[in-house]
Amino acid sequence: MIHVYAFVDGLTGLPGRPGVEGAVLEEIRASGVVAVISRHSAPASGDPRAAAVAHGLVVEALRSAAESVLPARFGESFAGEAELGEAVAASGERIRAALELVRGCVELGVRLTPAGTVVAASSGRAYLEARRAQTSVVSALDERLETFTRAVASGAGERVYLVESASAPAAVEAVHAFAAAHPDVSVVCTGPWAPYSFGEVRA
Amino acid sequence: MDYDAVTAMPPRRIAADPEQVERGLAQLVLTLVELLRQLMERQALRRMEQGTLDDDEIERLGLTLMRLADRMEELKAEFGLRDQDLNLDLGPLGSLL
Repeated sequence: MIHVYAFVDGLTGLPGRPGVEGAVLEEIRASGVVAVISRHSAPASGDPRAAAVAHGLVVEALRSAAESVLPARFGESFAGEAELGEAVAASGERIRAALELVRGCVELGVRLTPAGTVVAASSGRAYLEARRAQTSVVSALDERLETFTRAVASGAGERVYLVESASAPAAVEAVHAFAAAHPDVSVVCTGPWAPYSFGEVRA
Repeated sequence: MDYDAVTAMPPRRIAADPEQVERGLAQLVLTLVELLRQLMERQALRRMEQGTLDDDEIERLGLTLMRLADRMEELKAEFGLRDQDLNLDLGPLGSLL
């Protein structure tokens, strides 16, 4: 069984750390795409949280070992190289395009909660007014980060910005400045992370 | 190992595996519902800003959209889908949502 951590381009070397359940990391090539994997004789049976952490640490380590990292969702596994090869062949064009998009980039997540949140809406009017406030705040943040942003995604109540690694500190500063200028909005910035939100690969 | 010889298939197809078909169809249907929900919400916000809705209409529309948003969250959880799964890559046109 093969556990996939990420598809990469410009890999200079495998991270010097173990994979899920202490497995050895390998790089293999499938349909012209390099995948970082580990091999397992059976599905992981240990603590799933420990496995998820091990997976995430490998992906984060790959950020400094490759020009472009496209993380695979935790738990993506294949019976063998043939099955992985078929999956990559089916999505090869999409994977290559995504690798190009995220080249040299990381993602920043920003969760915005304006006063009077949608969650707390107690009436139809309150819901629409909260949505209007949220939309307006999101637009203002998009504008503030426009110069740093290569792509934007939305997910699970947050805005996710794809920015070049070198620009990440300045982008985080811009988010903090935005938070200071909007004291009525709760702003939580996370990252930089590997670009999970821009083409994450699933089996 | 090189798999270039494997015939390339269109990306984002619905898997033929019976266990995956239901999820694939749910993803497609929910993507379209989410698109319509967002369009309706934008239209409602625009009309509210323009003052072309009375109080009763604002309340009714808001409640409808709020319940639809809640139901979408339930359905996404049921099928193990995330916000970014409810999207379609339209190539040069960009993403649907």
